[in-house]
Amino acid sequence: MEDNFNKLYEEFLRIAESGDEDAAKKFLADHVNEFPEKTRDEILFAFFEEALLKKADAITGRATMQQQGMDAIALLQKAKKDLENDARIDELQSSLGGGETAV
Amino acid sequence: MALDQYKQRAQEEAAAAAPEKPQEHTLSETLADTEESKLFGEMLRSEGSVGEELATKLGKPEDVKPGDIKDIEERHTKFIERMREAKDMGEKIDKDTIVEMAKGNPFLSQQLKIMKPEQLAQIFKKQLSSIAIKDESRFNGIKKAFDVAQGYRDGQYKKLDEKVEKICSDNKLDVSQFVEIMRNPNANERIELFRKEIKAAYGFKNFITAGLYSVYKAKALDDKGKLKASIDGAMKQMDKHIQGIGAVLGASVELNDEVREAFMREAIGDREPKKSEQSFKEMSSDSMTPKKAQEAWAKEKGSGAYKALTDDTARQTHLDNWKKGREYGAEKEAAEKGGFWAKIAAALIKALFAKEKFDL
Repeated sequence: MEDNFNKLYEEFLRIAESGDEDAAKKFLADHVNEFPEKTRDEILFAFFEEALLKKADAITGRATMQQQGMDAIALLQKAKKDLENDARIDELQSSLGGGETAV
Repeated sequence: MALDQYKQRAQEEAAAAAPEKPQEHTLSETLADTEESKLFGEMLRSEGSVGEELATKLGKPEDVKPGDIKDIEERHTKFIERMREAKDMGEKIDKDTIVEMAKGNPFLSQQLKIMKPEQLAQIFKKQLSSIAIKDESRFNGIKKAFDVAQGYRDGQYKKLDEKVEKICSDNKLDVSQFVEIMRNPNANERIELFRKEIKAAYGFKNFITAGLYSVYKAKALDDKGKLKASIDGAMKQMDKHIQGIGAVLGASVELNDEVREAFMREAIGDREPKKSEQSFKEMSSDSMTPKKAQEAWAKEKGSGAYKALTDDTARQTHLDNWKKGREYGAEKEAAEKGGFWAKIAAALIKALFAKEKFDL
């Protein structure tokens, strides 16, 4: 299995040099078990680590986004409430015969 | 005699009854353990020349001076700490963790067809120990991410979801456009449509700005003292903007895992692929080949230090050390550059130097 290493490595480099990242990943996925055990384990872990970092990034990103969204809604609702109050005051002043008021 | 036997038996029974404490090795125990002493040596070497010297001395106990003991013991304490951290995290990597990580990850899913999740978990635990002692910053990054994922699995983010659900329900927020997309049977199209929709809707700052601007307009007077916009109109605008934000929020708790992943990536911007793309370019534009490795060794053979060696044993030791130096160099470069492909490149370069035949 290990004697095959140079062949595998050169094939991998050929794909990498073509600039096709997805194909390089696919090559590793298809041939990972043909690499020496130590290398295989390091490649497998790199993929695990990538998946883990992405997942954590998505979880924290989603939580941040949710918090921002809720804050934004709260802010707009407050502005809306202020506007409603202003409208009521304006209406009241008009009914009391006051002049037009910029609230 | 009988008393001695009694004492010994009593001690053995007491030891058996005592709660099991985690066994952490002393320096001499670490050195006696093949696997652990190898890792300790790697940690020392990863430090650079001082560590390398200490590691070499450990291989020849007669060279160890009294002053070295303190240095070695200090490093051993650090080594034990890192091993403990790796072990603690490793114990949490189980079958379920692997299955969870493989969701939406074609590479890991593919491996699960040929390897059991328990087997993968075992490999990852071993790798963790190695990373913990050789690359502290990488280990800390992995640990942090793992804690977040674990927290999610344990329901730590549930409260936030519930808060979002309540806001959506209180405000009767509509997520129908996302639900409509979910009906599309084609997964790729579904994610693509979803991304488009998110792009249009996400951008809370825009909603806030637009919302507050409509308030400003409703409050502002023109030069004749008339209101520039009607309050009713402004209220409608505000509702529209709240709906816009709410649709994204609602979708964040309504959708299934697959679309939720796409949603999160789209909403927050996927940083990792950009980094991955960069490390891929670096790897493919400047890769170590067997030919380059042979050229580097030929250059080393031309050095004065190598030429001064008088026998093959010394030359072989020089070659072994040179190869080790190349391997550490590859690891160091990966640690400095970061990114997925830098790690792959390091793994392959190390294998290349280990496998390649170099003439003395």
